[in-house]
Amino acid sequence: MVIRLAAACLAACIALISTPAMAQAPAAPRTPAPEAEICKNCHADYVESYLATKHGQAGNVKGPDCRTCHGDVDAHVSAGGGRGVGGILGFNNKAIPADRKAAICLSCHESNRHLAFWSAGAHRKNDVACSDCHSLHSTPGPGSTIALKHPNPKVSPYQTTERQLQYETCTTCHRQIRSQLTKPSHHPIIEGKIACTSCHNPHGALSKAMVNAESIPQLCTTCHAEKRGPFVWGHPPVEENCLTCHNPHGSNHTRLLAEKAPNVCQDCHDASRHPGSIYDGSGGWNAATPNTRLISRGCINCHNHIHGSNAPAMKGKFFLR
Amino acid sequence: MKRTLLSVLVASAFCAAPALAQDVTEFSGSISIGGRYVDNDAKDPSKFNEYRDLGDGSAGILNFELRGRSTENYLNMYGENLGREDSYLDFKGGRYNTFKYRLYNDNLRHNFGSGPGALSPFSGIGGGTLTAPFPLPAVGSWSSFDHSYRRSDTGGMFEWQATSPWYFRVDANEVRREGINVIAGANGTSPGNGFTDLPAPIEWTTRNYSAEVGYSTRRGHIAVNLSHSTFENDNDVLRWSNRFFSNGLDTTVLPPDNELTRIAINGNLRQLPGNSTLAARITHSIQKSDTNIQTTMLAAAGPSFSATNPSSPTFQGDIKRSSLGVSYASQPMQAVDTKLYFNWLKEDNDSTQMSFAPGAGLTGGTCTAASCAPELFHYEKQQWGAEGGWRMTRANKLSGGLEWTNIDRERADFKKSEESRVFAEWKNSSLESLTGRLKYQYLQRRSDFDPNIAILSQNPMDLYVRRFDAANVDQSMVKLVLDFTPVPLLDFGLEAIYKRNDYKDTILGRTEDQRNELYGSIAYGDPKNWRVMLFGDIEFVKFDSAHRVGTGNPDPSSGSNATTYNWTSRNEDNSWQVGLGADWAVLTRLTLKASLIYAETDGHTDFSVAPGGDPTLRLPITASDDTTRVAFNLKGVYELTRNWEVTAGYAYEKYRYSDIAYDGTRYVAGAGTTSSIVTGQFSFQNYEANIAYLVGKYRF
Repeated sequence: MVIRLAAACLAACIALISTPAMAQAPAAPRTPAPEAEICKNCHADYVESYLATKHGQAGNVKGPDCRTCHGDVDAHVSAGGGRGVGGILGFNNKAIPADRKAAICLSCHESNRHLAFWSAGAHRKNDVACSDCHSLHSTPGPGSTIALKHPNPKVSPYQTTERQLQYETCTTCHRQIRSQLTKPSHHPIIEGKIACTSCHNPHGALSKAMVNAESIPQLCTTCHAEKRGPFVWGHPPVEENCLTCHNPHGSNHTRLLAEKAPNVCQDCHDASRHPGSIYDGSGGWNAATPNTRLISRGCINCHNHIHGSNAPAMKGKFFLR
Repeated sequence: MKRTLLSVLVASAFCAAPALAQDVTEFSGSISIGGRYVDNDAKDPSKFNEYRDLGDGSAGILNFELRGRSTENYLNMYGENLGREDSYLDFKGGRYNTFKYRLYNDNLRHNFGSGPGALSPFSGIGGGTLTAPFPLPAVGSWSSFDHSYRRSDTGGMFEWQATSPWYFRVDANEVRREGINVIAGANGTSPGNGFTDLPAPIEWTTRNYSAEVGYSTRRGHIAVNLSHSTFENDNDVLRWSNRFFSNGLDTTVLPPDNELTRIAINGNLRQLPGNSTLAARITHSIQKSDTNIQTTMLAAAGPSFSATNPSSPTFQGDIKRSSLGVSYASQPMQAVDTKLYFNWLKEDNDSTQMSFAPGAGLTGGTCTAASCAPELFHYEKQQWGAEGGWRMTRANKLSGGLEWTNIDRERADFKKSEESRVFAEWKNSSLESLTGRLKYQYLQRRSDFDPNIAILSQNPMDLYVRRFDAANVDQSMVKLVLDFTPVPLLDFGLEAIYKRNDYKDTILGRTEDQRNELYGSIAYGDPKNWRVMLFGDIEFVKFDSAHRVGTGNPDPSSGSNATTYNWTSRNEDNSWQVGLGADWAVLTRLTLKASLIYAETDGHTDFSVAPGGDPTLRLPITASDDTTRVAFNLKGVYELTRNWEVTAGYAYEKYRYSDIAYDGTRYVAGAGTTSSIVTGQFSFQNYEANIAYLVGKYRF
């Protein structure tokens, strides 16, 4: 309820802010750069598509012209045109270092707060240019305000969303992640309910894997707030790193477990009886006496509060209640 | 339409109208109306519907998009699956170079089980008390419940920058989750007395607020961000009839309300000498919870409740975290780039130090003073690193780096760890059509096994366990990435990964794990006409571990006999998939899109008992999360007129699942007071589904 009220207030504020500004005379439409007409002679598709983008939008007086990004178009034309001729910069040209391509974009966007950690991030270090992900001559897909590159046809199970999803861009390079996203257990990323940027900042971060938090538990409990605790009885690996037991991009095992229970538990826990016992192939439901440590969720059948418990005494210590 | 959606719509319309009314230059958008028919043969369709609202039968489809553009303002409104449980509304707008805002509502229903996959003998499901008679009624009379929860995320943001370097931004959202999730509990305190699946209520609300003020120029950036998050659970505990204790009402404590307050300051300085950028972030957060401790717990037949005698009637959770991250990235020469970095994270647990002096039935037989007082986890991590890259020639780049990490933690086994990581990478693009990247990384972790004897001696075997998350390890990783474009429009991609962790000093616990992965793809075509992509992935993962069981000498080096012995296991997870996708502009007005995925996962576990140990034959586990999945999509999009477009599609999906833990589920294992009961979750996941849909889109 509070959030709904806040949303309504926010909308009211925006309206109030907008109204006086709207009373002013509208800004002059952006004057098309003269070179665009020249460029059109050979690159009509690119010019037309560019003018339909946010950069080329009539009201966007800061929007770049052809020469802002591609360099000296006059020299290019004078030399007769062609790839790289006259020093023209083509963003699909692999011979041009990523840093040089990125520098063009940063010449306008460097002060963008989203790029505060670009220099510290893994993408810059690994020669990823802005244009490797962003498509500056395309209009955004349904439900999006940013045009991302989707160089390959979509390969996924049936989706109820029409939106172009971020993962299609990211997995062009991150093939291992592409494979994990369609595993039997996965976050709803291919379903469009979580985006790669929900957890990662592709524009750079100081954290490992460019995650949006100082540590993995702090990242995961942003959504999984019920696991924040603090609990009377904590579980040290939970408090240190969720990835000890889970693979967030996808797994063969339920609940994104990196290894199936009881094995994943037995890798750390041994005792004179359970969990040191062997839970072998004779203990399934098809046995006369199923082994309660193997069937269903394995160890979690009893030790259900594995992320922490507030139950008193041994019932909490062993995560039973 | 739900009230939340309505309020977002009204609010957005309120803000959008004045912003565009006097200055409209162009509106464009679309509205899509159609229908979908689903035929699914699953006994329990929850796997098919895990995150999608695809119930059997027919359903409508309603989507819309509206884009408004003026010389000053812009507006994007998008909605899909309206009226469905996976609906999505997103309204964004703003004034160019001045401000922007967003309001959204995103819904999801996470299905876990239904029909035979969600049966329970309990009454009162959905509430805080579950009751069932004893003896339990026959499974045939158990009732089915909806094992799922709905997640609704509603929020918005506003950001103002104008032409000033100063900016501010506020964000707020509320995530409401409602439904049922099955948790479980052991019937008794000691092992071996069975367990019970418990359909627990989920009525969770998370609210997040944040405000940020910053100053951003080309020379530098600084921002202060303050955020606050609260989590509220409408149910503190779940009471349930526990047949082991004369069917008395047992208590399971549910996740506590909590709150998190965090302040972060981040910034950078650019254009420093050597073409350098200094970036830093400092954070401090306080995480709190407040829980009333159960003063009695069901502990014996009768039923009988024992006093838990907590040292404090309430537990005040209080964890403070501080962090600092600094990076200094330079490009002193055109062909050289370097980065020095430091990360520090400290966690102080100032929660109430509890202790319990429970009566009979709650001790588990080992309740000494040490075991009844929880350890408070403190943690500190420092990390230094240096990386460098040298572009030797236009086509060759060498990179390398080293990193040192020191971890101190409050834990009964490993209190201190040191990690050293070194990597080298060579990137080559000598051939214009071929780019290759080869990386080798070696990581060494050394930890001091410094046992807290008072704690570990409660389970003597723990003195020989080396837990893999902190144990000594030598890790090697090799990664090869190739991208090959022999002719225009044809791309080959290959990624190969080998990674091995050797827990060399481990006596009991995971001794080794290894991953071998290969991902390949071929793509061909011009997106404007037709394009096709084929990919193939294959992964082999294995985990080796060493164990000991028995009440004899816990020292594994003391050998094995029939009752106390060493054993090992090897757990293998193999998976592979192929995918094929194609887009084809058949006619100027007709586009066809198709995709096919075939995927398999196959798990296997082998056991081996040391010579002299228990001679009982140990059967391997051959069905361990084994799955087969087929997903086929075919879609045609036809432009009837400039304004009208029709999309018709068909999808086929088939899923097969086999696992020793779920195959042949009978719902009840054992008998009497020590019986175990399950709901059937994950036991009936197999499905074969056909989906057909027809959508008309009007563009304006």
